[in-house]
Amino acid sequence: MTSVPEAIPDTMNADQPVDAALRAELARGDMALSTLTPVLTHFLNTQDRSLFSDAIVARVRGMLRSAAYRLLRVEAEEIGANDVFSYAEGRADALGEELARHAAFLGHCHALAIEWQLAERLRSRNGIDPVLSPLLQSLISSENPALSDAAMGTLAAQARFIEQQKRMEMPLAELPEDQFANFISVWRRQREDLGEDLATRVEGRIREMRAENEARLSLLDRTFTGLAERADVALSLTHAGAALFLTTLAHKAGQERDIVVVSTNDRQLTRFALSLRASGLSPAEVRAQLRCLHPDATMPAAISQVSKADARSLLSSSPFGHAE
Amino acid sequence: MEEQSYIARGRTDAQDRLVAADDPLATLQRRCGGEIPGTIAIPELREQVRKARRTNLRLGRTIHAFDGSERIKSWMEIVPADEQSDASTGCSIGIVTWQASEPPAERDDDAAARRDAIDDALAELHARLGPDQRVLTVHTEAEDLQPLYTRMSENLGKVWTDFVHIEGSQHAQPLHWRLLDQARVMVDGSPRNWTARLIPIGAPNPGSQGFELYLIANRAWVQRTQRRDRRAEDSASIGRDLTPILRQPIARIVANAETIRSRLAGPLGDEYSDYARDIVNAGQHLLSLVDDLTDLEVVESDSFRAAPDPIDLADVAQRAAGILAVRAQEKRITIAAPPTGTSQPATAEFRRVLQVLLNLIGNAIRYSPEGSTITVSLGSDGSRAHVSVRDEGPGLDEQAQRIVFNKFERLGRSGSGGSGLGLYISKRLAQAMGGDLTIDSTPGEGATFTLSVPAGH
Repeated sequence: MTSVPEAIPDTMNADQPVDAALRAELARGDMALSTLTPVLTHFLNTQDRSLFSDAIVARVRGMLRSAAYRLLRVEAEEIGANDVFSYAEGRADALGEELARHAAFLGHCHALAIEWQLAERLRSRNGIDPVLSPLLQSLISSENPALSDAAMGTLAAQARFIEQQKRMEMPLAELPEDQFANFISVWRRQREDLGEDLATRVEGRIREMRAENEARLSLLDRTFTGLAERADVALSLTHAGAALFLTTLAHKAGQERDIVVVSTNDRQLTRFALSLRASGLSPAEVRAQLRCLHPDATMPAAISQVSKADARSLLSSSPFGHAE
Repeated sequence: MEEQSYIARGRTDAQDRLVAADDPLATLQRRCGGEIPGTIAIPELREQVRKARRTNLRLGRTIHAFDGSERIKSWMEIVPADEQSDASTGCSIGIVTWQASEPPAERDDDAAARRDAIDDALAELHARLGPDQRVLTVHTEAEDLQPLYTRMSENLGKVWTDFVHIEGSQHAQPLHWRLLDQARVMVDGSPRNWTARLIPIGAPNPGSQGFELYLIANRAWVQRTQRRDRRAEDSASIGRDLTPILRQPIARIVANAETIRSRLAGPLGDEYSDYARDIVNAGQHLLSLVDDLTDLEVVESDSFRAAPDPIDLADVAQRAAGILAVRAQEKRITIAAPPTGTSQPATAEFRRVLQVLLNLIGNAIRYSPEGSTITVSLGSDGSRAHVSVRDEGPGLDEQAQRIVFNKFERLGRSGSGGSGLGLYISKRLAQAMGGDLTIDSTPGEGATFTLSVPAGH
């Protein structure tokens, strides 16, 4: 990425490919320059580095590469490459970098990494098992077969998620449909030369793989739906565990789950508190959840004065504040 | 790598594999789990070597490593093999400083947690168990565990020990988890041996909220295609692995037989001395056969490449003649080497050219009549440099000339000496250096073998 062009032609001409390449490099540099100040400001003003800690950055990079690698394995098999592993290995970094430029896809991976970090924190600080929370345990033995089935599936999926996160992996089957579409479009753009026929075959095979297991996020949705009007019980981090809590909060507050996940960071206290309020928790209950996440933080005083409806309308007026 | 004095050196190839190393680098490589030749197993070093090779720039870096008992801190200089050219070959590594120190002591709890984390990372099956060790969920991507996965996931709620065989245990299962942790386990459908780990969850009573079960294999699962490659490598290891083992006993047989033959240990009947000479000859033949087989394997492997340098064929020819002069003298044969002061520049690998010439001159001595002359001469024709070995032996007819370079071809000779591989190997070596080995002969008038290689400047 930092390659220095060896010769610069005397006359610059927009038609020349070398010129276009230089322009693209320059534009990339411009982008880095324009983000310099906000990034630095963020670091200077934040005590809690958890959003961009080395661990999170490494995790996100690992997930991007893992997703790329998994697709390239299939591509290599369809092409009939001699050595499927080194084929995928050799191209995974480039595709991973391309994926990192897709804001929505990157945001999703980042949110998953934050969620895992949160689950780990709850485990070490509150003794909440990241796989099997007390609520999930009771739902599994529920008499409602649809609910217990969803809970059982969630348990298995959550166990997989924790294992995959430990390995910084991003299985394609776990991507929600819109993120999967983003992923495929980035890949197709990068590998234009593959040919439509081949690309379709690869995509088809991955779609088949996706169909084998129900994704964790969809199982969490099903569990939430199964809870129906009792869903409020899941609005406790220590009772429901991070995964089910976040899904429930996203649904009840009408927010995107990825945004809700990031709002557990200490710079997003207000968004987090408003979401809880919009979900119908009382100010006291909001304070309890906030304490659980950030023991030292104080709840913004105004929270207790906004109604559920106010909280909702405040949230939806934010550019990040509404679910699709 | 000029001037700078190094404690030790190493070399890497174009794939960043360590192909040669002195101690302590060699020991560190092995302790980190690597081989020589093999991929660099020292993570920081591998990264720097790759960087130096890609950028073709020399680097000096402090490299940190842990060899299992000591922390190593070393300043290394990494120099791409050819700083001038773009050719990405390997790098040389020079070790300037080397410090070993005791690692900070680890608390028992930390050590246990680290072991658990390693097992977790290595495990190929993860299952979640309830407090009574019943399987709640199971997850694996291992090919050979798929039958187990199917059985477990179709029978959730059963105790995990129902699905596997636990070594040395006839007890009604399950035992207390502490007795099952670290148990050796066999799994139907898997050729591998497994170790089970049970990690209790829940406080204050470990296991009150269930367990995590890991199955860790005793070896990595090798993909079918890779396994095939590996097998090919295995069969090709006669030379590499067996040669050192064979050489030593044969060399002892030869040395002891030589002692008997020369009556060094005391007087001995002539016939016994003659037997001993036969043993010496046979042993030496066996040794050269082992060497030939090693060479054969090398020249026949796909990865075989010569490493050409600017050399002087006259120099190589004189050395070869010098090495074999004594043997020639035993048959009163004169080797006429190129006179000192002559020169014939070429681009080839010195060692390999010498090997070819020793083979050609050795053959000539073997098949020439007593008192004859073997002439080694030089020449060139623009892009090629030649060195020829002419003898005054019986020569070869056309049919023999056609097959003389074939593998195991001994032209009907059955006596001792010669494996029928020498000329075949020589020709392969010549071709690997971008040259050739040819014969020109008329029966009754001797034979001329000519090695041609790219000319030098």
